[in-house]
Amino acid sequence: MTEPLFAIQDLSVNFRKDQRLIKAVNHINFTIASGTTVGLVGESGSGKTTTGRAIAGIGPISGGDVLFSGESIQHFSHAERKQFRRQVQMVFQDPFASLNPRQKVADIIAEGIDNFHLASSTQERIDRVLQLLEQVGLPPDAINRFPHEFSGGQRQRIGIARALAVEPKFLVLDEPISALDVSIQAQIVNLLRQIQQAKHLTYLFIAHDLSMVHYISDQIVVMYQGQIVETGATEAVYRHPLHPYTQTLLASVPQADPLFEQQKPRVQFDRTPIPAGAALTEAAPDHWVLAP
Amino acid sequence: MTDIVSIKNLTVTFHEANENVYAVNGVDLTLHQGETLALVGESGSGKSVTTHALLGLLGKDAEVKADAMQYGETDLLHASRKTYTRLRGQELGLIFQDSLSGLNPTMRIGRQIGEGVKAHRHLHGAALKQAVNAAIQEVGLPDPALIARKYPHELSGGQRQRTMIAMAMIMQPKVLIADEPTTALDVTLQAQVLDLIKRQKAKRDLSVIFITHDLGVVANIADRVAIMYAGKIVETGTANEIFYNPQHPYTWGLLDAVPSSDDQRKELFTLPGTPPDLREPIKGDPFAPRNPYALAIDFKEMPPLFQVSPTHFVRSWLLDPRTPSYQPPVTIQKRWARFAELTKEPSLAVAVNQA
Repeated sequence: MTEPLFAIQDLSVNFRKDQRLIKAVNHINFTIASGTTVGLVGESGSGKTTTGRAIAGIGPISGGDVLFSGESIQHFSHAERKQFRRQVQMVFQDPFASLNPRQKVADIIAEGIDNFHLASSTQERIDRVLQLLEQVGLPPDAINRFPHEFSGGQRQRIGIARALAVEPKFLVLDEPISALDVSIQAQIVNLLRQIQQAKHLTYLFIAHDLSMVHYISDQIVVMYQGQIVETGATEAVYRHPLHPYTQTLLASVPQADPLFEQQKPRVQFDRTPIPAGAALTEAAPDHWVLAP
Repeated sequence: MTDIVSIKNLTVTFHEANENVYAVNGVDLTLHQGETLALVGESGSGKSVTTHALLGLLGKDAEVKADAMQYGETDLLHASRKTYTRLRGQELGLIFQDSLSGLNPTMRIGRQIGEGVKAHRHLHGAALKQAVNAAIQEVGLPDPALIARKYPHELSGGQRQRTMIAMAMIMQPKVLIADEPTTALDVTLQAQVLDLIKRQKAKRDLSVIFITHDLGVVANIADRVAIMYAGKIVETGTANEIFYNPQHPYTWGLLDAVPSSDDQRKELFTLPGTPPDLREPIKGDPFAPRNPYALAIDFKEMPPLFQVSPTHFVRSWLLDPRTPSYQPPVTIQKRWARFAELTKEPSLAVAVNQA
């Protein structure tokens, strides 16, 4: 097997709050193969965003390591770090909060192009922005408009264009569709898949439920209370969810089928803390579940 | 079946500095006693504006017109501010999507929940405290006395949403309007909040208007469904009629956009295009430019309401007898086949017809 683009090794992230130590991420391991999508799923507070930020190099790492093409991201030289910052980009959840309201779309998208000197002339800069707008399905006249003139779905397209502007290898997509209407969520998921295939990108797709993740992920990682409770190929996790938490997450997604919804049994997950010393065991080839 | 709320031909126009926004364009809506009606549509379809007009919550820039707007015996079109204040305080409960901006950040939870009963029912001291604690307990929050002393920021999103429900329920309203109460929540919390609303409804014979853009949620909670597009209701029927016998291409699109757990499709279905600009009056059917099934007449004339059953109405020229035959998407054909089976089985046919 070729070397993964990312290897997350025994990663821990701790925060301190009122003298208490909060283990937001607690000794987790997984890899992200080049050209694939890993879906990172869990409820608020499960540690999924903290994990994403650590991988993108914008959040703290308290223990363990994150390897990018085999190199620790904690020991980069200045030049290596700059390269890494270009190759790894983030798309955020809230398209209303993550775009500067006073900047025109052209300048929002071109910020990375300017920072990394990727355009040699003003014309090249404009051409590049127009090309990006086309890639994300926005009209050319968007270039001189401001974020508030766009709907939520269109703003998320601007956020994606901004991330793509520096020709990255890897995107951390932190709940990019959670704030959007269901009908628009599908548009963004399809767009992300098309772009991935066209540019051979690698994604970490963070989500709080398992509904849309299905359509974009090759591997699923389910986090709960800072730990991985289940991980495996998408089809395996969807068809044979093994951990009670994964089963609850799957059963909680409402289906567009009233008779099914009325008859489905209530799954109640026992929310007691994960016992210390619980470890992942391989239940089926490449399908791991946390056992006490 | 008694109608507790009835709206006839509602229009809402916002007059802004240089333009008008035609947000609601002739909505007829009834809420039957004891039912949950889901009002479904994309952002900007007019679903929140419709309920805000009902509650008298729109500002001065909004021009509200209707042939009739009734709550029980009360004529809301000519209701005084005093009447509205009393109704909103005691009979019509409202819960919002965003629990953080719906709660006062500087006031303890207990005081906020108790405000309504203190003002309208003149409860004080121990009786007030007891009512508040009972309301907190009712929505499934542990240790009411402790929760009552907290501030909104000290609670989680799910706890805050429960607090909002407690605030509405303590007044024992007859109608609850829930405006996307679960959109900001994780799926597991969403399931809990939906259960909570269903339990409260069963216990108190509440009538509920539930606003959402997610047809999965609708399937879980609704007795009847109204689908809105560009300020009009385009299809309305019982939950079974909307999910198993949908007739409007917009409803088809919304149904296909919901991911299904046994889905083998690699590409998710998406509705092409975007909702229309409501700053200009629209000629013809506003959905026509996005509708793969649009006929020439769709671009010229707004379709009337066609009746499919005593409870099922559709605003689409496809239902006109002169329309040539057409095939809906395969996913919808499967739903129709299911409906044919449901109506064949006597026990379920009753459920389909009576609802």
